[in-house]
Amino acid sequence: MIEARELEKAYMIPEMGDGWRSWWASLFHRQYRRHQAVSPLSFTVQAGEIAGLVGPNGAGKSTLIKMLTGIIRPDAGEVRVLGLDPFERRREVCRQIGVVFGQRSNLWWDLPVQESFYLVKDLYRIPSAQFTETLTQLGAVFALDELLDQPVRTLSLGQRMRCTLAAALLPRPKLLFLDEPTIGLDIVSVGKLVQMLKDVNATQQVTLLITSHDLTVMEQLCQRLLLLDRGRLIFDGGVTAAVQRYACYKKLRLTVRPGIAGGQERIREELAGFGGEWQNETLEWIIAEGNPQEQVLLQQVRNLSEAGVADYYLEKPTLQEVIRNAFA
Amino acid sequence: MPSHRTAFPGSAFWTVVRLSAREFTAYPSDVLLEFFTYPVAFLGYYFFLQAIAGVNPLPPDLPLERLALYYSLGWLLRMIFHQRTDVGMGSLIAQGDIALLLLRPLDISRWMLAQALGQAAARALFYAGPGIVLLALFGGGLGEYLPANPLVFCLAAATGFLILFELQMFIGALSFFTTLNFQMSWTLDMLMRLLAGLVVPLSLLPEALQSALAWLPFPHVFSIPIRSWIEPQPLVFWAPVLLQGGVWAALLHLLNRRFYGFALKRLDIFGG
Repeated sequence: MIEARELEKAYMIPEMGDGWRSWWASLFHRQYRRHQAVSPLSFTVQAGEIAGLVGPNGAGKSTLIKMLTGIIRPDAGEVRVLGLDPFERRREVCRQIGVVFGQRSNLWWDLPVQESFYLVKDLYRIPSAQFTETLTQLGAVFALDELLDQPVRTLSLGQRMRCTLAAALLPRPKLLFLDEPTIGLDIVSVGKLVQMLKDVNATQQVTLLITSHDLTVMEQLCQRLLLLDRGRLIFDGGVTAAVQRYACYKKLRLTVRPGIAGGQERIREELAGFGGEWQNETLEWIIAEGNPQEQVLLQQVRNLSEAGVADYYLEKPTLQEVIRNAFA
Repeated sequence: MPSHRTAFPGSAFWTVVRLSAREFTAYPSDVLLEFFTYPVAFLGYYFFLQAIAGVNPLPPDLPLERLALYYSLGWLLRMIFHQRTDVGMGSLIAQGDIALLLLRPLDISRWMLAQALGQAAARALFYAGPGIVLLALFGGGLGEYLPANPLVFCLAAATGFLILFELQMFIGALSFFTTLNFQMSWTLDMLMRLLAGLVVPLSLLPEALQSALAWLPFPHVFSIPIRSWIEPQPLVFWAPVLLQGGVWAALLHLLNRRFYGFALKRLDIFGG
């Protein structure tokens, strides 16, 4: 579905120092700094996959998406989307993909939402029957009925995003690029969006490539992660593999039942040899994967239930921790 | 070969025309205001010319009524033709919103043409009629203010619209290379007013300049459509003029296609 080989892109950024001399000199001889937005990187995305592009600001996520969608031309390397070069054969590629930029909208600002949908119908040559059927389905998922007659400018950010997503899905794309699709959405809308994208992926086999800083969304949605850092691909694999590489530990948390005389003191005493960190009535250990002490500690904790251990549980690291560790 | 050169479906083209026209009326108060201010602008011109005629003798072949008709038609056409495509294109490029056009299976040039056409059609509908009626009020009889040869006028106006559109698209495309779009747009506009006969009828310019302009595309934008409205000449008189205008429109179109193909290769859009 997507094949990128040794893909590379650099921007020339003008540098303007402060002071009169610098200002005067910049009129005649401007200095440029070469910013390597994407270093040579290669990856493939198979049909039906949900892949997440994750990275800090300036990592090159949006630049990569723009190269994959044919908006900008790579400096070097080769890219194939649906078997075609997206820059040279942009129109054919665009006909088969959907793209949503969270910060930009393709809807016609002053006109009712449905006019933009009709334009999509004409642009993508969607047969009337298919258009009506898809719009009905999307209308149910995104609750579009009451928005169709409203001018786009009167919609809230969340409503606009729902309509933008619907417009991107109307042509039934084989591949959907989503660049920060959850910007401005509330928790309920994000949940619905995640569910809807899962459904689209499952029922229509739409391949998804998503960038988002909302790691909860990425965790719920993505089967595969591509971690980008300063234009380099530092990890490409499943979420489990990412956890194994960047967060190869578990957390054991123990909470103490209040009101048992001397209970907490006894627990502190018995578990002192295992380290851990107390926070009010909670004791937390970080245990490296495969540490033989884990079972000993667990047994000890179980033995202390009479002393007032209210609960204990083992916790896997969250994706947020994985990302934090990867980019630390 | 970049695929932006390929066209998008005809039905989509006309949908964009329709939506652009509809967008023009999205704010009815704006339309109403323009509807009233436009005749006032006309009146201003009429009285300005009357004042000039009072202190300076007008050329014998351009009496006051004809001159008023000339300018009024010129500014009426300008209002319909000039849809700020250059500034619109420039702002799309500068703000990165051109990405949204590039994500659609369409030809950017045809998209912009459809938008300009829709807006022009809406303006023609709302202002041309009232403008002509107003002219007639000052001239004494609507008959004098109808085009001498409607077919020639329509062809000349269509050619003029296309030439102006292509020139504006060219200025818009310069935004790929510079941020001076607004200033260049203004310069083009000023040049256009002068060289296309909006400031002074071209027949009043020096002979040498008239001869040079006869080979350039500018007179086709305003001067020739206005003359085709005013001058009752036979079709054979206008045919070579219209042909020349058509050649200019086609040449500018091809030039723009090459230019956009080149410019898109160096498009950079920073950030998300």
